[in-house]
Amino acid sequence: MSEPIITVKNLRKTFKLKQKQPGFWGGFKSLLKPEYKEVQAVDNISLQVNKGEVLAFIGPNGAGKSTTIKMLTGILFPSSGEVNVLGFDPATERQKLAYHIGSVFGQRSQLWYHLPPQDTFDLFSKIYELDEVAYRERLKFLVDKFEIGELLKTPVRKLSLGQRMRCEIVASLIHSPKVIFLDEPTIGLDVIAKQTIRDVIREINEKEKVTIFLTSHDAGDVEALADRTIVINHGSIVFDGATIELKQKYIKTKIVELITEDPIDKFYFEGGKVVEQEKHRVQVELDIARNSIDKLLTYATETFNIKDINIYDPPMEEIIAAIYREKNE
Amino acid sequence: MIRRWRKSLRLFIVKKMSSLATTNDSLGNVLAKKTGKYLAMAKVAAADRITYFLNIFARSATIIVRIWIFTQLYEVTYQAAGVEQVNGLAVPVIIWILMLTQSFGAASRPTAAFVISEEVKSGALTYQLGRPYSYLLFQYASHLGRYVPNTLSSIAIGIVATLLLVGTVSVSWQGLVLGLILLVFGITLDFLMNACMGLAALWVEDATPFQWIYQKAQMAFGGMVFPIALFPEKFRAVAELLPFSQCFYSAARIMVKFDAALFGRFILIQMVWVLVLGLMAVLIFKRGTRNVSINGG
Repeated sequence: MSEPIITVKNLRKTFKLKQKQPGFWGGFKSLLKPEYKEVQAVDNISLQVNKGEVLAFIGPNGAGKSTTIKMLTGILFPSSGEVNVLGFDPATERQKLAYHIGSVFGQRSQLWYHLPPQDTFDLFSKIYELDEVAYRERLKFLVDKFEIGELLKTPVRKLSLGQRMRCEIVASLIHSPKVIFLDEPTIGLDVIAKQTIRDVIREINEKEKVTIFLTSHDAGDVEALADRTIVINHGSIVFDGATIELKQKYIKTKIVELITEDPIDKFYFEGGKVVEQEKHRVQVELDIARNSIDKLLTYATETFNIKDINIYDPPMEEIIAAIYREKNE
Repeated sequence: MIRRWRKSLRLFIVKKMSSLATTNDSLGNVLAKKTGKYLAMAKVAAADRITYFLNIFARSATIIVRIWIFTQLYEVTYQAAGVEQVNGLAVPVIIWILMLTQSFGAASRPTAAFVISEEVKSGALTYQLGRPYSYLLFQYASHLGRYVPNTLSSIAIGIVATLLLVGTVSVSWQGLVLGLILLVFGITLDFLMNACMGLAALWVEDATPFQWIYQKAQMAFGGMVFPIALFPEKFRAVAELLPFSQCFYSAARIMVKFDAALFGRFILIQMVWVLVLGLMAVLIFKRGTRNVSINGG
């Protein structure tokens, strides 16, 4: 039987946001009589994550993903509810928990900007009180896996986003955490950089049985990494199940964008609905139950001189709308 | 009995100090690891600071202008008053005290208040709060790390400028050593006041006004422009009791002109303030972390 590592019961987080009227007098008025609006960022969620599981925690912007992660790591205090991570209450035992968890927040950096990544790694080895020999071995392993050997002595400010992100993840794994919280780890990265990161995360999960709690807007991350997915919207869980189930039940279309050398007069393909069309560009929503991407691409290359092809998943809002539709039926 | 008491005390300290993983370590190892992490932070902060040594050097060089202005000002004032000394202090002594006070004060920039409030505003707190250390000690170690290269550069330039402008003054080794102790307490005091102001950003949108008030109080009562020793007696007594003069002025005063009784008074005042402000910073931090809302998700 799987061992639960994270248990969340009826978790809620309410923020009080100060409201400001526009303009000078509005600002003056809010100075004299401040008005606050209560925002329910996380609304009564309960979940359990088992040891070694890779869980994708997805949802649109402002759904409450990052707030949940911050409560699980002890950075934010819950308004109500219970949280247990590795036997610790993050709100009261933040420092103790910190030895056993790692986190990557894709939109923020933990590396010292003017110094090479090696300095941050060495500092973290002290912060996490690692044995010198064990640290050297661990660093060598991670440096090889993430292929950052040549970057170790380059100041962080000179690294590309992809290089920096690989170093950020190494920094989060240096102390061999039992749980890793990845908040948008591939944001802004190119396809190759994303793939490298996904491969290594997958390998670490399989070999070290590290539990991974992932949030991402990239369906590719979710498909490549997560066995289970939780979809959150307006602070509440709207789906909790196998990723394959989410994919089969709710991701029924793919968006294919074609950019051509020659003008597109007419685009017709069975199962494909033209969403946008310009002279040299067409965006088609393909019903993958009726036809395959393979066939669409064959049709496109035979009909046009293709300059570029992009394939996207439908936006998260559409997946959530499909989930709601099914619930209401 | 004593042995048993010592054993339970040792176990208690080990348990308190070690956070889970290291419970089998000896007390010495635990202490070394706990202090080692803050030392490592100070070293990294110092390394980060000296990356742009020219910037530090250029900023420190402004001390030359300030010392020159002070020399002109105090020479004219003493001449106009027709005195050689005020409260036992001649112009060169005043200038040396001012140079040291200014250098110690300038070295504390960027202030801990600025660093902390920026972390709160930018959301960088997300990472800082999720680490196994005391956030306040982490900030203190980083502040000390930045302080050392700043102050060395300021003092080096300040000494050359002051020597050229007013010549030497006789100092004692007691004054230098005990002044250094006062400086350590003073830096701590300045850090604690700044930490309280920086943490205010957890409640108010912008903590900068607190920092302005603090800087002005430092100018007026911190001996940055007017050495406290020149103040009228009652005013001087009050100013000495305030924490502002105990940050940098007291160390400078004792280093340049040693006075054992004055040292005793200063260190006592500093200790009381460190205790009071230390408690205040811890309370604000504990209360503030319940108030954290990370900007930008």
